[in-house]
Amino acid sequence: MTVQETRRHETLSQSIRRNLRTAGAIGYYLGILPMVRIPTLLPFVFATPFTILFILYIGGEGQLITSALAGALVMTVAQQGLILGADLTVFKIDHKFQAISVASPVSSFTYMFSIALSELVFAAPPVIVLLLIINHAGVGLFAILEIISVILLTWITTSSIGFFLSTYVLNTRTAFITVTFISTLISILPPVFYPIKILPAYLRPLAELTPTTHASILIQSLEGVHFSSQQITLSWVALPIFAVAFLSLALFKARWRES
Amino acid sequence: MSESIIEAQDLVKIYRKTKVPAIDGLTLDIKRRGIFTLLGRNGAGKTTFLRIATTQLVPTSGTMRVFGIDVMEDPKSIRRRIAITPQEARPLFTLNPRDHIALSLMMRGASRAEANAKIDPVLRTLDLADVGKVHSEELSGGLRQRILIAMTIVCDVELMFLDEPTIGLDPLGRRKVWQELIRLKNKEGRTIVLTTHYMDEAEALSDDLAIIDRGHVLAKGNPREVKQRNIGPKTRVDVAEGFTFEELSSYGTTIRAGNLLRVFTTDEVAQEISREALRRKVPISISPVTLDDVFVQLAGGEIEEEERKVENQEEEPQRGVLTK
Repeated sequence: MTVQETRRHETLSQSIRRNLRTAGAIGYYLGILPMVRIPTLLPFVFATPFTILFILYIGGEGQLITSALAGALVMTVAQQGLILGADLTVFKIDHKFQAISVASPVSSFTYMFSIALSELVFAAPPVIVLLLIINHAGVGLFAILEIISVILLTWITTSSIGFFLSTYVLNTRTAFITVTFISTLISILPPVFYPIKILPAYLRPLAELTPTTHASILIQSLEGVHFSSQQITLSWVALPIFAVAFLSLALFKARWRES
Repeated sequence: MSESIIEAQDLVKIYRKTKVPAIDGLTLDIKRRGIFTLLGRNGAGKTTFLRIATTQLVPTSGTMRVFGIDVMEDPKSIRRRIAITPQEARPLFTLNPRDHIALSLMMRGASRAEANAKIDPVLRTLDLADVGKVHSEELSGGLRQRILIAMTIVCDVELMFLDEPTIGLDPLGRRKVWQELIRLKNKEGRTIVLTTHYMDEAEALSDDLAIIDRGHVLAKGNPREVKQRNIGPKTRVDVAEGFTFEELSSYGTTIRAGNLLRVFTTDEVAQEISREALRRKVPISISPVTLDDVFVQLAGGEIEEEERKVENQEEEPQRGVLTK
């Protein structure tokens, strides 16, 4: 019996093991290995969030540090999730790796998940530095775990957006412009780096339409900033809904197979 | 088990943007265990056919069955049993040939140990062993192309698709790939579907081939059959000087092939031209008709017809299709 024949009759556990192995291989070769081999890429992951953090720290004379730290965390993860879209477009257009993957047992979910996971690994160093700073500022371990869950939900949301876009974008230039635009739209413009309370009241409902606003609110609250219980509840409900909605969009509406 | 591994019936593909059919009612069967080549001009629909067969692209209408499975009904069952080298693909940055082959195997579920056991043999087969650990961006175009081929042929699949696999390879590199494809067919019973613009490649490798144009099959069969059916005479005579087009036209179907005049004719008439050339002391070349000639005649027919119309409008007709 060949490997192919064995595969045709694989059990659920064999299928799960194979998919995990697939995800591990794609994540390792497309995400982790390039980072290890070109460590000079790493400073770029730190650049934007830490620059904004620095400006807000200096400009706000330390007053905005809590929201700025939350913003830097959210932006780092959101940016990497969206960069997934640009990277996948390069893999699709330049390398035809999506074509190779479609014509293989790799599912669209495994493909997206494995490359998104590698992007998360890429984002890990700045995230760890920021979490250490937050922990040093007096935030406990349990709250840090909650912050990590917020980060993961943000990662699922933005990676899904990135994957969805990559399957529709037809050239790499458009992909990079789109990613930069969306990154600005969801990481800089809404109250991610600054407190939502300084926004005019009529703009707040608009801000709450972005998942990163809720991620930042939750992280700020875990850092000790006071928010109403309704706001906290709303954000804990909204963030998973965003994650599920965008993940569904990526899984069911992404153009894995072209029409 | 069906004799055919791919069956296309009245297949149509119209891309939304162009609105022009890339494939227009194509019906084609490809047999198991062998090398099948799709030939055609640029835009003839070869890559579209491959993309539908590999479940990447949804057809507009018609049916395509691979392993007897409809590509629209159960693509997952097909995907487990196929692999493709897409046209104009590029290896991934920072990865070396070893990484690419490992990735290709492990993304299909192979363990690290299983992948490692297969890497060196395929590297040796395609002359990549010396550059196994060199990053792909530092390699020549030909070596990069071999990495992509290696990623496909290393897979334990029944059906492989290679879209212009030897483009950019030097003649020795091409022959290495040919040898391996023939070995995979003969020793491992694989089916290989490839597209190429190299007629010598199609002739050297194919058990069967089809010449398609705008999604229609112009000719199909083994290379010998295709030549016999589509060009009557078996011999061609190339003449560089000493004869006019009109003179040669009286010996057989004559065309311009670059700086040469080429006559398709019988062995006997070729001998006659040879004697005449000897008398005029001009060199000629006599050889069997090639697949290239058939291709030009079939796929290039429309172009020649259009050119002829333009020429006729501009001046007196030069080109005749006369046989002695």
